Amino acid sequence: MLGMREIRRRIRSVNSIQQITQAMQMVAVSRLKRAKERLRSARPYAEKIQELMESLAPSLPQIEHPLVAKREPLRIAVVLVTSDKGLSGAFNANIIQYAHRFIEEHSDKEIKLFLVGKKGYDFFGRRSYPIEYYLPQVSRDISPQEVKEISNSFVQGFEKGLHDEVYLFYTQFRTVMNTIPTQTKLLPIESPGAESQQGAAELIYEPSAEEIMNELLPRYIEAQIYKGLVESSASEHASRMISMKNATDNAEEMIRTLTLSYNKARQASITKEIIEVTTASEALKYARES
Amino acid sequence: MDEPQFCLEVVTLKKLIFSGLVEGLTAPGSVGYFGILKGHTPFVSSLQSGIFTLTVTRGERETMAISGGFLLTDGNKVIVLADSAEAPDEIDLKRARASRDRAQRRIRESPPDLDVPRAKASLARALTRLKAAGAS
Repeated sequence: MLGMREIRRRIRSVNSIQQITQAMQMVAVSRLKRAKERLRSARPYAEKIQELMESLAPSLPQIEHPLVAKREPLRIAVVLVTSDKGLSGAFNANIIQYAHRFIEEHSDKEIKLFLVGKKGYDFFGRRSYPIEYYLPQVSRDISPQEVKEISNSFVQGFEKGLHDEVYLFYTQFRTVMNTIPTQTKLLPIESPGAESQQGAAELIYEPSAEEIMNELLPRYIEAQIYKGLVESSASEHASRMISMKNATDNAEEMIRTLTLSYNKARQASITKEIIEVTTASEALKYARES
Repeated sequence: MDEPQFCLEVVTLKKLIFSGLVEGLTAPGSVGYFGILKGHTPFVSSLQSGIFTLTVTRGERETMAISGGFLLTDGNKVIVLADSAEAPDEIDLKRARASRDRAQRRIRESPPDLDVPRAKASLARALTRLKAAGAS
């Protein structure tokens, strides 16, 4: 058994670890709350732009736009969203593994990486994949400029024909306990819900269907990236919150067992002292009598 | 006559700006301002930066500065997808002035790397904001 002093020291250190994990848990809770709020307020735009895309879908096939160009997929761009900070459980590992599996399944193709977040860069930077773009640190309330920058990084390459397909990998937020690594095909844009609505073809376009598309398609991509970033940040905080809660609970448990063994050690030493005293006095008594 | 109101939703990437019934609106289309009343024919337009006005009920108006986006209507409801939309009291005058001055300076000095359409768009956005806020 450990000595009392040793046990006391360990209790102290576990205690300070617990304080840290508890603080991180609290921070994650409040960040998660904000991220969920952002997720909720990002939903209308995503829905409306989808609606707009659908109502324009009937005219989409007739339009020749570089962003809808289908090519033989020889070079694939992978856009991966991870977090910058660790201590969030399996959050980064899950999404990185998910993307890595996809990359290995397509090992006959040329893969290019577009990384958002430090953790993805840490993983793929050590491997021999060409990293075309890397954005470390997305600001806490994701700005439209950042979204634009990310989307420009691969849209231009796609227009020039440097890659033939673009996939976005991010962690979808369902509930706190349920976050799912997800992939979406960003480019080429496929006409959503081709079942054309009645009367959609009678739309009047101003200035013209083609120019509307020119403006709409990049924004459609941006909306998807924004959604990916928001979902990913909500998932990250949810995951950190859970893992920090577990860490706090574990520390609590550890303090309990350590306190128990501390008490036992203390009791043992008291008993030992009493035994020493009584044996000594018994011995003295015996010596006097004889 | 039927109720002259129709449903309007204004959204940006970040949030829902407005949702409710209005009697009419005018929007800065990319080929000029246009108005919409109930029963408009199905219509899609891209927008440029400008002042978006909506009439909630007769005489009661709201304005906002918007910069780029789309407007879609099917006759009963109107959806506006704006790149940004701000009510006059949300506009940061100091920032708008600073970005106006910066854009004007860049256009005047016209350095070789100047992205002219971008500088002009940025100037237009700043001027719209100032105009919507009723300042200069």
